[in-house]
Amino acid sequence: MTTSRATTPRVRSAFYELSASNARELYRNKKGSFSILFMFFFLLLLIVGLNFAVNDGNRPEPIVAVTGAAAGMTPLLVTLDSRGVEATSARITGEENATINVNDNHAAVVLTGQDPPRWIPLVEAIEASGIPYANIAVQDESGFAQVDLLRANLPAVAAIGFMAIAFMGTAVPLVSLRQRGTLRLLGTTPVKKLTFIAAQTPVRFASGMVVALLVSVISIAMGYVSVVGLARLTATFLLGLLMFFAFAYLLASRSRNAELINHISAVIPVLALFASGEVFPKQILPEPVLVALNVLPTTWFAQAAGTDLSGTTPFIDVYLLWAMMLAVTIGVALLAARIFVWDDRDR
Amino acid sequence: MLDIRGVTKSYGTREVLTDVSFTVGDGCMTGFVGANGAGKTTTMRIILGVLSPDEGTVLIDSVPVTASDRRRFGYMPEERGLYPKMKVAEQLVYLARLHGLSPASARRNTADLLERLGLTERAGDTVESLSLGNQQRAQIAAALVHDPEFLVLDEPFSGLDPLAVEVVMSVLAGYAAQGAPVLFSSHQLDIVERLCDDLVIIADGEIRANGSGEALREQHSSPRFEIRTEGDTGWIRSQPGITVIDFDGDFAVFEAETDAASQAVLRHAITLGAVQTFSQQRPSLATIFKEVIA
Repeated sequence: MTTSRATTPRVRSAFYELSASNARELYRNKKGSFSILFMFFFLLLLIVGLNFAVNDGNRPEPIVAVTGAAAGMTPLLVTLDSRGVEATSARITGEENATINVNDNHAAVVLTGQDPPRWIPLVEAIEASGIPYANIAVQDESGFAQVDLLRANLPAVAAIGFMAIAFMGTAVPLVSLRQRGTLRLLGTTPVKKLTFIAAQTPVRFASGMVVALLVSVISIAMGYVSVVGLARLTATFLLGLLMFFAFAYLLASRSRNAELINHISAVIPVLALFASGEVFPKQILPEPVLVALNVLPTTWFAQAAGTDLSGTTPFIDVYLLWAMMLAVTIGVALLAARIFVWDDRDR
Repeated sequence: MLDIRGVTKSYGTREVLTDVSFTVGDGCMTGFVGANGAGKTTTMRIILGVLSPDEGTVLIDSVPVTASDRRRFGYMPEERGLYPKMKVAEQLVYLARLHGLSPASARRNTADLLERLGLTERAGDTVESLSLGNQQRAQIAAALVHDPEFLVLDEPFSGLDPLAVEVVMSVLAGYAAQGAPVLFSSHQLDIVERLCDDLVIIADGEIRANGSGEALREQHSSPRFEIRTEGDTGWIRSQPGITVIDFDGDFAVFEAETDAASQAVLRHAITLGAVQTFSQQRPSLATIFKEVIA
């Protein structure tokens, strides 16, 4: 027998050991590490590609006729000019392929002609002239609304990225540890359940931050978000990520069937996405369905993020959405820690 | 000393342990034997405090075991559970640290155990790359690395080759020699017989036999004797109070109704010539096991 008796374990020490071990395990498991970020990058590239193909590729440069109230027209014309967009204050050439009607802090863009132009730069210019994104409507001559696919879907892409990290990257490995008997072994150490669960978070949280950072960089680069909006978006990302982790821990708290949890983890983001109001326009959904969907925490995240990324209006104030997300995170995390079992035979 | 008193446990309506009581003395190697599903693992998990009994208690030196006592135990679960992609030494240090050892102590204990278990050369290998036998040695090291005061080992010898069995037996015996109570389960009754001071036999969640190996043999020994002499032993058949079970010239196995009857046979044999062997047949552990669980 060796001579070093165990001293009183320090929570910080156990947390550090567990966190470091989790990071190394995740690094060793290349396939797992790849899969938790794959869904995010795949969707992001898909949306970027689609947006380019639908709204940008091979389209002519815009030639714009601006109409409406002078108070709105003047700054817009200046902005368009500074951005190199050919614009006039009246239809004098007959060569224009887009019109912008500015009125009462609203702007309506109509794409005209056989060959509609690139219109996203127009929206950027209108926003830069002081009209909020939510007050800008773009349509073609037949009245068909034009959508900036990247901007509209960034909240959903961020949500998918976070959920993949939380569910596939956290819940599934946790259940695998239980299935393999590792949790049973760790359960015989003095480590507390809450410490163990919390220690799963740091390395995954870092992955979540990669997603958040990338979405933020894109938002800034594309001019989707202001400085104030970025601060608010960061808070939404932090709260959302923590909330998804809490749900992942709850999902992983008892099962020892990693395959089942893997299937559930693959389905949850898709269901949550369709229920968030970011895929189907809210206008087409019946009121009772909207009320039901608004009860879902995933909707709270998507709507809070959508406020800053997509200029959508949430069903309640963003700060209330934050409060609800925080409350749910705390409640679910505590519940997960309470019902967590090292081994399903401990029930 | 570990004292398990009146432990009862049910899962739903199924009672898996019924009034289980036994002790594991300081420095005592205690074998815990039973068929699959008899209740060994459940009992061990209750001893560790991982599972709560419905009734009964587990005491360490007359004090009930609490969650904070877990670090005092070295436990090897039947379902192994080491991280497959983690290196052996890294894994042991990690587990020792979780048990509260300082980094230096954790590394020292790890090196010491790897040496004693013959795994030093494998210290940098991942667990999944080891042979099953070496994985088992690593698992045993994981149970011992935090230098526990009590050992509870579920099937520590399964999957080990004879050489590894000897190594592990020697390590466990070393722990017991320094005063640690050691409880281990095994289906390999020959190992249990060789290694154990005490034996606990469990069947259907109930303790069927419990005590020192010697006491159990005494308790379950039959009044059966065997004798080998230089001459023919056929005369034994005519001895009063004797029934011959087996006979082969100079060798006989017989049952005696009383001690006096068996001693009379010995005395008579000596008068006839040299007696090469005369002994009471001792039941093997396997025999006792079969008898008590029947």
